[in-house]
Amino acid sequence: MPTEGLQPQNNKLVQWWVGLFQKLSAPVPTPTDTKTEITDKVDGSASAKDDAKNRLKLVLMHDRTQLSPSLLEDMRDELMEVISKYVEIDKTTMDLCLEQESNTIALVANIQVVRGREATS
Amino acid sequence: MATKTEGRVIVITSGKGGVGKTTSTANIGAGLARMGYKVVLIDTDIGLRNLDILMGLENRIVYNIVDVVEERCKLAQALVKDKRMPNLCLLPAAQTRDKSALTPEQMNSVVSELKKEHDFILIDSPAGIEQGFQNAVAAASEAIVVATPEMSSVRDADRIIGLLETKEEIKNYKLVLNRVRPDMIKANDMMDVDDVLEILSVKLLGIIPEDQDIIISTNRGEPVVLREGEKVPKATLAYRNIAKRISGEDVPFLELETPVPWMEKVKSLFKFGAA
Amino acid sequence: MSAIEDRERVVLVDLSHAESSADAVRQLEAYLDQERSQKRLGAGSRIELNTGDLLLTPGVLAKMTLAIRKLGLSVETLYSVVPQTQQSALDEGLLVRQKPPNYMSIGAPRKFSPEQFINQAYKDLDLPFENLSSPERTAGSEPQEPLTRLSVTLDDGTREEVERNPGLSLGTVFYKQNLRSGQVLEASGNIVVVGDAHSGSEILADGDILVWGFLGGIAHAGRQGNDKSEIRAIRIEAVQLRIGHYIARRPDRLFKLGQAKKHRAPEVARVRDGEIQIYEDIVER
Repeated sequence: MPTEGLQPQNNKLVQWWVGLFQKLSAPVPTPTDTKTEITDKVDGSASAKDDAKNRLKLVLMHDRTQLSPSLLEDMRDELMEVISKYVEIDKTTMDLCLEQESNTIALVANIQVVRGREATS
Repeated sequence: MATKTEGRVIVITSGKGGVGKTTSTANIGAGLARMGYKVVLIDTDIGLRNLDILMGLENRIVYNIVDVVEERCKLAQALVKDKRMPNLCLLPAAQTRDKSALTPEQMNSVVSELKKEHDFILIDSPAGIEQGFQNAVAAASEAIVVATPEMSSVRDADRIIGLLETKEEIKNYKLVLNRVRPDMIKANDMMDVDDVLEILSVKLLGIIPEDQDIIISTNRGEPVVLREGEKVPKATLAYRNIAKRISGEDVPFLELETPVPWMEKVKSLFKFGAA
Repeated sequence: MSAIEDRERVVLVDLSHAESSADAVRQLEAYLDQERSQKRLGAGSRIELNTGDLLLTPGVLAKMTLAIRKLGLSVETLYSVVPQTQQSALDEGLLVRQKPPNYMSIGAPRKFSPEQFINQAYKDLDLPFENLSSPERTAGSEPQEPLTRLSVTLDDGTREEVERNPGLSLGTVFYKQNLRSGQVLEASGNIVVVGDAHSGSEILADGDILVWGFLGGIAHAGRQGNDKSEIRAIRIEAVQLRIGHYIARRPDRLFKLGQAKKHRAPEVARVRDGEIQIYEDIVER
């Protein structure tokens, strides 16, 4: 910190310096930033269509497979249990979801393996 | 034109209510009749009939489909002839009964009789997937699924398509996308036609723009497809095109573009500046 | 083939509530303007004018017919109760009648068994009935005896004796509630409804029907074949009226211009001259 070496009697001056430094170092909103903000807002309302599309896709995948989010959660837990028997996995990063490609629905699991069970024992 | 073979039986369904099944039935039927085909419309929404009002025939109904299956009258007596076209008629639903007054078997026998005399039999299905839907679908070999570009409607359409796919009798089904608003699609506020087709993976039969003329027509009991003149509403053209496609003509889809509103121009200016 | 048969393009323009003949001309022109801008009236549509008790001079009437004919429409009939107006209309070459028909009779003016009647009614609507045999069904029972005579006052002020069967020998069902779409009230006697009968409802009685309210649904009086039965309501705007063997449906279109009458008498429907007609139900003492 640049204020460290200063004397205590210069307290007010120190505060002034610190204040000025903070003001200068703080990110100043640039004209381009404001513009991004506006276009962001425009695009934000534009995504009503994408919102609908994405939510609908998800709902339909669950409808079609008759898998509710809670069932998916149960399946995730059971899968983890089984897989953990053979390999040590990172339970926090495990990701299980439904994905649709054209006409087919796939169950995609993303599991990070830490190491094989054999190696630890 | 009219053939001597048996008529085609098409059910119009949607799952969700209020998306325009009955309006579509009335307009597609009238559109086919306008081309010279012999058409009969069947209202299977027993207890909540509306097709008669859309056709402006509510004051002519004496007998209905339940009277026919319960043998209180002959089938021909219950057919209400359209006041505009002699080759179009309506078999009304009963207003004072419920869905259980009709069974799929009875529906089959009524339709097989009508098939001999007509080129097209259009069946207006009630909302839902219960008995009313089962009755409506029982005798059909083709289906038209009506949906609007809204989540709830598309979801229900998906369910209906799933059910139709399990019916062996249904040889093909196509989608009519109703209440499409080009201005909202333009602003990315509404799913566009391709989005819906991609999600449902279904073939498109027609696109109907949201059109206040449809409401005016409904109020007057005259299907919008029957408007004549040089400058007819877009919905009129859209329904005429659907009728033509059903009859086998290859008609390009309507261009739904509207003039770009000034707000859009401002937005595109901004995007240009940012880039 | 796109020829559309438009057999029913008869539009009744009701000017009877206009305050003066000038007001009637204004109303008519406003109506024609509106129709023209919305392109609702195709060429060849026929206009009928109801001028009620307005006094129209030949000049005013000529102005009205010109306004109509300018649009390629024709005007053939004028309804009026004023002799001078009637004369003006006759000079103009129009057909003159006293009062527009409230209802269009789709029944035949002859008596049939119920099934034959329906066939006949549908013949009027050009339905293919030629090859149909009459379905087997027990014929309606004979009209109730004895008949009594009743004196009624007609629209033109004359009195006429009509035969009627008050159905006094039959019991009466009293229903104190609105009838809504899909509801059916059925009785082997008379029916009294205290409330409105909405469009889509049905009232079926072997005797008379009285609705102390608005009648908008279907009403069938004298269901067993008694043509002398009557249907009464504060206001009759039923989709269909059926009396005995007769049946009449509401006209497809009736454009009512101007304000509705503030006071109106209750209405009664009965069979006269072979069709169902509606009268203001004024009881003479």
